[in-house]
Parts: sequence; structure tokens; C-alpha cells
Amino acid sequence: MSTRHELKLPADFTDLADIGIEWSLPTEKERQDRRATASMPELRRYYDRLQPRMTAIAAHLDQFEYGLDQLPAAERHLLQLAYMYLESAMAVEFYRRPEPPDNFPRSRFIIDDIRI
Amino acid sequence: MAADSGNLYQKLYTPLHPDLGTGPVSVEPYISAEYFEREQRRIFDNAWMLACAESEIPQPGSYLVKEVPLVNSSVIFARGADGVVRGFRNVCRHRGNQLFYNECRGKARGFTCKFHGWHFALDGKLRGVTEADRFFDLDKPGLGLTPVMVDTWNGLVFINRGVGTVQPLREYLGSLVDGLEQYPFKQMGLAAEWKVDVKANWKVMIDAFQEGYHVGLVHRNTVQGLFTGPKRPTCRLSHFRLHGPHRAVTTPKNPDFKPSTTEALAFQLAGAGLSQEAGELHGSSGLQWSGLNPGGETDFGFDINIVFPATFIDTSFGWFFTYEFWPQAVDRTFWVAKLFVVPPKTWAQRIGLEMTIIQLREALYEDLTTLEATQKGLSSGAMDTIMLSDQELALRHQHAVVEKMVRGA
Repeated sequence: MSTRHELKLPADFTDLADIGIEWSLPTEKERQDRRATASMPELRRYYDRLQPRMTAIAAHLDQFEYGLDQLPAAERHLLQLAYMYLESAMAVEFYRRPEPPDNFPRSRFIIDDIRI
Repeated sequence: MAADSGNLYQKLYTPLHPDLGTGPVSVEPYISAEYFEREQRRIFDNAWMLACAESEIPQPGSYLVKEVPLVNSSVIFARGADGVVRGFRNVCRHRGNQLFYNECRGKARGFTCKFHGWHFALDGKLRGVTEADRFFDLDKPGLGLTPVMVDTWNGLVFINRGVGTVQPLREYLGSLVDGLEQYPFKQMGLAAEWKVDVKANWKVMIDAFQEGYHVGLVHRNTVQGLFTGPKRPTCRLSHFRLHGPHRAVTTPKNPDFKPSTTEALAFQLAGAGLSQEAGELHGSSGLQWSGLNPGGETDFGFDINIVFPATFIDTSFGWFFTYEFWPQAVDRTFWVAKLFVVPPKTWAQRIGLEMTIIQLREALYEDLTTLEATQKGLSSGAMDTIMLSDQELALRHQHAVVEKMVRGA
């Protein structure tokens, strides 16, 4: 019996619950910062796990009406995992590292989270 | 190589504007506190600057509150019951408390101060005073929220400090926006907003965004493949268009762009992305993308439209982004960058859009790495002049316009 908090995901995606628990983050800033401070092996592992599921994730979410307050909790977590995959792709496909060297300080870049 | 690309690389734009010259340009305007003060009086006292989009305050009762350094104040932008967009200082007329303590957005029937409950209508009029009979000669009609000068054009909201003679907004914008009268700014929504307090002069900042000379190097880790390639070794902006103090130019894209695995996935989901023309997402919206690419650039990326002094409205198919550069000191500017898109209709589209948001954001980080270092370098006294190439013509134009206004020539 596990006392660890489980990530609630839709039935077809419960296989992602183990990795998702560490990567389901609700805001752009949190996802950005998570990517910038993660290790490359972690990011690569996340990227490799999510990539083959992305099309299925989009197809599943498309069953729900579009709207920022329309998703049940399980679907919201799934969406956040999809966003995090895209963030991880910046590290894996572009930077080849979690964060570019000598980047402008992330703490000075204000990210508003209000959008369509 | 296509004939057009060949012509592009032979053509020079600077000789078309002999009044702008070809020589070195003075450093003084970027580093002199005294010059900055004169800019404030001669330019910013009655300049129109972009504050937000109408789509951000779409309905009667919609409001947003933001810091506006131009008027040294937090400002409430509100759409009244009559549908009119107004701006007010975010200051209660009782004892000066702020109606809103932070930047925010919302919808309301009016604004109530959290100190003593004074209540103001959406049009700024004072409607309610707690225990009004305990005041002496309270001039309620005269105690409405202090207005700031605000006007709108085609879905964009501009603000003016309003000192001295102010040109009406449409007249001020002039021929710069003639071609954009039908561009659907009003039908597009805010997808991302980013803000940075930058230790650089507003003109140092603008210079970095009005040339493509830097793209292949500064953006080598992100979007350089979108804009440079075998047919376009550097991202030269093209078809410079000068409209009095304003200017516009086109950013071409790389016709041989090869998306990464995730870029391709995002394009497929969204139907479009930073480099795509109207795809399923935008084509299905039924909107007309008029006014784009007036120069007829073969490989069109996006247009850069600069409203003097410090507003960028960069337009393309299905998306536009804006930059607001708010001068705070000779070596300090508050920068607000916003991305607007045709609103997604499905979650697949929204997921694809997130890739565009992330990539644009990361490219802006790259631009930020050069700005403060440049300001430091110029401020050090290491040199009296900067050198500008043909593809930095926009910088030359800006310098000339500012000089003319500051010197009163």
C-alpha cells in the first residue's frame, strides 16, 4: 500500500502517473523553471516517455469542449504534462542542455498567466 | 537561387533615403540623462503609446489595471456600460489609496476602494461615499476618478500623457496604418504576456528589435532556422517603409526551414506556428489578413510596424505580437511583450499554440542577453559613435527622428 500522493490522470494515461507526479505543473513559469533546473537525463527521460503519447493526449482532450475552465482535474493534469513535454523539447532538441549558458536571469522575466 | 532572393541581396535600401546619411551615429542620445529629459519634454509629453488591445477588455464592465510609466501611475482601462474604453488613474479621490493594489484583469459593475468604500462607476463618476453627510461641501461631480488620455484605433488602445497640443490618434498614426485598417486585431486574443525591467535605454532596446542582422547568432539556439538558411544566410529585413516618424519593415523567413520533431508535431496540432502561413486554425476562422507584406516579399515571415516613439505591432497571418517600451530613466526601460492569436477552438490547437508561446519567449530571452551589456558598453565612454550597415537603416531613421525632435530642428 502506497501512502504517496497519486497523480489523477484519465484511464488511458495512468501509465504516465509515475513520471507525471513530478512534472504536472499548472503555470508557464513553473514549467519553465522546472526545465531550467532539471538535469539533462531527467529531461530526456520525460521527453522520451511523453513524445509517443502526444497525439493520443491531444485526441483525448479534444473530446472536451475548449475552454480554460472546462477540463476535469484528470484532464487538466494531462494537459499540463503535454505542455511540459513541449518545454522539455527546448532542452532536448534545441539547447542540448537544460538551460542556455549565461541566460538572462529567469527571476527578472515576469510571466503573466492570464490568456486565452 | 530564386531571382527574388538574388535581388534581395544586391539591393541596398540606405541610398533610397539620402537624407539619413551613411556615417557613424552619435552615442550621446543613448547615455545622456540630459538628453533623456529633453526627449521626455519634446517627444513623450504628447506621444501616443500602445497600452493594450480592445480584445483584452471586450465587454462593458471589462477592465485591466497596469503600471504605465508614461504617466507615472497605475492605470485602470475600463469599458463602460456605453461600450466606450476609458482610462483612469488607479487612485481613489478620497485620500489617494489605490483601488487595485496589483496589476489585474476582471469584469465589474464599478470600482470600490477597500479603504473606506468609496465607489466609482465604470465611467469614473463617483457614485457612493460612505457617510457622505459627515463631509463638508463634498463636490461629488468633481471627484470622479482622474482620467488619462486614451483613444482606440482598430482594436488597439493607446495612451497619451496629454501635455500641450496632442494630435488625434488616427492623424498621429498616419499612413503607417493605412493598410492595416481591416487587419482583425479585434478578433484575436491574448496568448502570452511577458514583462521585464531592463537596465537599458529605450532606443538601445528598440534598435535590437528593428534589425535582423543579429538573428543568426543571437537566436542560434532557438529560431534561427526559421529565419536563416542557404538562400538567406542572414535575416535581412526588407522593404523598409518610412512614414514620417514611424517606420515599417518586413522580416522574411527561411524557405528551407526544417522543423524539429516537436515543432512538426506542434504545427500538426495547431495547424500553424511561428513560421506557418494561414493553416487550418487560421484559415478556418474566416478572417481576412489584409495589409500584410506590402512590399511583396517572396518568403514572408512577419511585418514590423513601429509607431513612434516606442510601440511595435508585428503582424502576420493569424498572429501578431506587440512590444511596449516605457522609458523610466536614460538607462532603464520597462518592457511589455504580448502575443495575440486567433483564439484556439480545440485543445489540440491550444497545445500546438503552447510551442509558439515557448519558442517566442525563449527567443526574447536571447534578445535580452545583449541589451544591458550594450548599455554598459555605450555608457563607459569607450566610443563616441556607433556604425550602422544598410540593414540597420531603421536605427538610422529612429536616430534622425529623435534628434530632430530633441534639437527642435
